[in-house]
Amino acid sequence: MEITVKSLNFSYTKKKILKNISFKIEGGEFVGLVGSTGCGKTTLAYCLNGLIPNSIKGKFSGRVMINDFDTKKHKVSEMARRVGFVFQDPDWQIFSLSVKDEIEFGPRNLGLDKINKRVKNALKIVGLNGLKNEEPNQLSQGQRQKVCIASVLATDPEFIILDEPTSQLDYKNSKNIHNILKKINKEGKTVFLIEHDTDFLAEYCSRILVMNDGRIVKDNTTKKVFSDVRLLKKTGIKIPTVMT
Amino acid sequence: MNPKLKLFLLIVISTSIIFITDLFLMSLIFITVISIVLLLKIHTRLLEWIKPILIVSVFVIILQSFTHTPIKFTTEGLLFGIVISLRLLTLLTLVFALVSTTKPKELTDGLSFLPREIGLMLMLSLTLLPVVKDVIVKIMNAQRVRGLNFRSPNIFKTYFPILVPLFSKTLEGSNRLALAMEARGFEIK
Repeated sequence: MEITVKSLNFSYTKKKILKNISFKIEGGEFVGLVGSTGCGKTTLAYCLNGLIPNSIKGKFSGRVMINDFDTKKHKVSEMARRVGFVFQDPDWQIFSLSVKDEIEFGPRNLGLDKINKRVKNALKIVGLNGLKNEEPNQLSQGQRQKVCIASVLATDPEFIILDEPTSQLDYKNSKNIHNILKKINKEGKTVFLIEHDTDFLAEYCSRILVMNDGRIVKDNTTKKVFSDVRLLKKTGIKIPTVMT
Repeated sequence: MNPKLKLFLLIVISTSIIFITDLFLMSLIFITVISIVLLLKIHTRLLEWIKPILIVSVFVIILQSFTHTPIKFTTEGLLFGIVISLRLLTLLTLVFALVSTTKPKELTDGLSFLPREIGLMLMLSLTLLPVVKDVIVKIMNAQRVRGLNFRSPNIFKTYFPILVPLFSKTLEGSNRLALAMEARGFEIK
C-alpha cells in the first residue's frame, strides 16, 4: 500500500484551503498530521479517501493515488475497501441500535464475506468483547469511539485515517485508543492520525507532517520535527513534554 | 406483542379513524385506547407528553364550532370539532403506546419488510432522536446562562436563539453522518 499526493490544491469557495500539497506514505507507516485549527487538516484527510472531490464539491486539482487507484476516478464506496476513516465525533457516526449492527454496516455495504468473524475480530482488537449486543447509546464516549474504530477495522482496509479520534476523551481513554492504533499498525496497517496532542504523536508516530495555512511546512521523522522548536512556535504547535 | 403486529394494528386503526365521523363511535375508540394505556400503566408519561396537544385540540374545537358555518356558532361544528380532536388524540396516544412499549431495535426489526434504504432512514430518525435532544438541551442551557428568558411572551425572541443553532448543528451533524456512512461503503443505488 502506497499513498501518493501530488500537487494537491482544493478550495470550497474562493479561498484556497489546500495549497500545492505533495507527499508520499509507504505501507505500514504510522504518520501523524499536526497543525493549528482551521489549517486544512480535515480537508486533506477527506481528499485521501475520495470524499473530496466525489462527495464534497469544490475546486480540486492535483492527484491522490492509493496504490494504482486515483481517488478522483473511483467512487467513495470503492475506496472504502482500501481506506478506512474514523471521524472526530462518534455521536454523528453511530446510528445502529446494536454494536454488532454498527460494525456489520461496512462489510455488508461492501459485500464482504464472513461477517460474524469480522465483527468478532474487530471487537477483540478494540477490547469490546462481550458488548456486541449492547445499544451503542448506552456505552461511554470512549467505548463509542472504539465501536467506530471497530466498524472500520471490520472492512479490513490497509490504510486507516483518524481525524482527532480522542478530542472528546480523557487521558486514560485517549491512551487506550492510541495503544489500539499502535497494535493495528504493528499488524501491518498504515495509520494516518490527525491529532492535536503532540505528546501522543511523539510517543506513537514514526513520521510527522506539519500543516500551516493549507501547506505542508515540514515532513520528517518525529524526532526531527519536534526538535524544530522555532517551527513549532511559529505554527502554534505545543512542544511535546519529552522534548522539553 | 409482536412488533410487526403492533405496527399493523397502528396502521389499520389510524387509517380507519380518518373515515369515522360519528361522535359516539369515535368516543368509543378513544375510551378503548385510553383503557389500554391505563392497563399498560403509561398514563402519567402520556399526560406529560400530550399536554401541548390538548391545547391544540381545544383550539380545534373552538375553531370548528365557529367556522362550520362561516362566523357563527353551530352545534354541528362543535361536534365535528370534538370528533377531529378525538381523532388526533387517539392517533397520538396509539403512537405513544407503540413507542413506549417497543424497544427501538424491535421497532426497526418490525420494519424489516421495507426496502433497506427506507428501513435505514427510519432507524436513523429513531437513533438520532437522543442526539438531537442532547443538542437542544445544550443550546437551551447555553442561552439560559446568557440570560434568555423562556417565559417571555415574545415567542420569536425566545425560540429564535434556539432554532438557529439547532438547525445549523443538526444539518452539520447529518452531513457528517452521511459522509461517515459513505466512507463505509454506503451508497443509494
